[in-house]
Amino acid sequence: MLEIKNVTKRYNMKKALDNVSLSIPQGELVGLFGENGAGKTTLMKCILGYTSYTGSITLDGERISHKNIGRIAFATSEHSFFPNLSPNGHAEFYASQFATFNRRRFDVLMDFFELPRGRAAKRLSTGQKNQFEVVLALSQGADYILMDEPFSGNDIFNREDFYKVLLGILGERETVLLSTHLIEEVSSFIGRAVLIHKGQITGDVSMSDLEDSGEGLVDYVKRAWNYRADRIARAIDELGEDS
Amino acid sequence: MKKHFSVFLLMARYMLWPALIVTALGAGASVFMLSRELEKMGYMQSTLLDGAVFSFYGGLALLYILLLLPMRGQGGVHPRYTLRRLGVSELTSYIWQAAASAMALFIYTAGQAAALAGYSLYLQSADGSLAGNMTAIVLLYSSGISHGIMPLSDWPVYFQLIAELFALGCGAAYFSFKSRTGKIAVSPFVLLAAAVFSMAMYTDVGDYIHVGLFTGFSLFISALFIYGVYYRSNNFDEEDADFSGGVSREG
Repeated sequence: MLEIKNVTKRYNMKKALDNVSLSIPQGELVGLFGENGAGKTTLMKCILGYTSYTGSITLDGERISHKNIGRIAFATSEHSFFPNLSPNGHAEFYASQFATFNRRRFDVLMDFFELPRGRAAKRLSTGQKNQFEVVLALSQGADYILMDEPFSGNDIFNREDFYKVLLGILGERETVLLSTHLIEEVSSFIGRAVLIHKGQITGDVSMSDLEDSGEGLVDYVKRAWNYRADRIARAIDELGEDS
Repeated sequence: MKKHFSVFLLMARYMLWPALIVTALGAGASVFMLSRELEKMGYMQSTLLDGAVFSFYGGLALLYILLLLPMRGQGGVHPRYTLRRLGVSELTSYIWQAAASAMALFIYTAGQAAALAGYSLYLQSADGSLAGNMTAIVLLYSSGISHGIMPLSDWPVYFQLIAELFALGCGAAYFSFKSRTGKIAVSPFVLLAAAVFSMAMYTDVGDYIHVGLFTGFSLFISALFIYGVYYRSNNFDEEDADFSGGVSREG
């Protein structure tokens, strides 16, 4: 269980996370949704201990340190790997660092994305770098896989295929926390949706509950964020008055 | 142990080729400089090997600059987050990078020592009018550079050399560590200048006060770098500020 309790993070005077509490048991596919600057990335960085915060984050009751951080994988969309090392070199290095590294899954996903194996990682295209980061995160053998906008730069066909592969390969105890703007696209793949707005958790719902209520995920998100549909008409009206 | 060794190999693989290439070029340049120095002198003087001073320090500076480059972001790829979530701590990764850099510098100094010793032995054996039986020993002991990197039986100087190489390794790895946070560290360059100054000072055989001072200073500097990495990898607020954009400079 990944337990986040009363986590607050400030950048200077601004609160990036405000008293966030969240429990994520193993085996869930969780969508983390929020506007730009809502605190999604900051929350993931706090989980990994990349930034300071107040409150507590534990993994099965233990503080996260380099001793248990191997249980968490991270696809950042910032291309966090070694520039001059090839994908195959990364696989060997990861295998030496993470006893759970899944070479078979790595090979299958590399073939799926048709990624070159011998080229230095810095020479991959932007889309390939994103894909490679996801491949590494999924192959690490981690219990918790954090993905922060992992599909930017990939076309919709690639993304849809990937969701299907993701559902097919994930083990029962593997958990994915997926941060993305593509709410509609992932709504049929996730089991739970967590909404974050201005650093606060504003919604947390299981997809089955949502389905029972008859409300779609996008409508739920709009309601939780007090989305004002009339603002478009108002803006157009105002522009019309000016001209 | 496998985790540690793989981190060391990861660091060392970027440093081996630069070290071998600069070592070969530096050794060739030193032999060339010495042959020109001998021509200028007309006859062999005890300070002949000091003629390789520019090639030695030039090669050292070049290799040091090359050692600053690995493990920083390149081509839109940034290893920072991965290095912070390995099975070994960020500080441990840093120490392995420092050790790999020190080994690269050691390869370079060993190449230079071999070039100086080889040239001295060549002179001793090649031309009887230029040299006698003790020529090589006299040359190696009487030159500041050769005594600093190959002190023969003056063994305490080896401690000074190893301490200086490790301090330089720590400096190079520190530059890399800071560049991963978007900053440029100036202190490794100051250290390089200090190391050149230290190595350039001739140490009389048996002058162990000098040896002790420079060894102690090098160890102190290494400890400061290691503490700097330890402190920064456990205090993130400063690192957070880096994401405000741009590259800043600090010590």
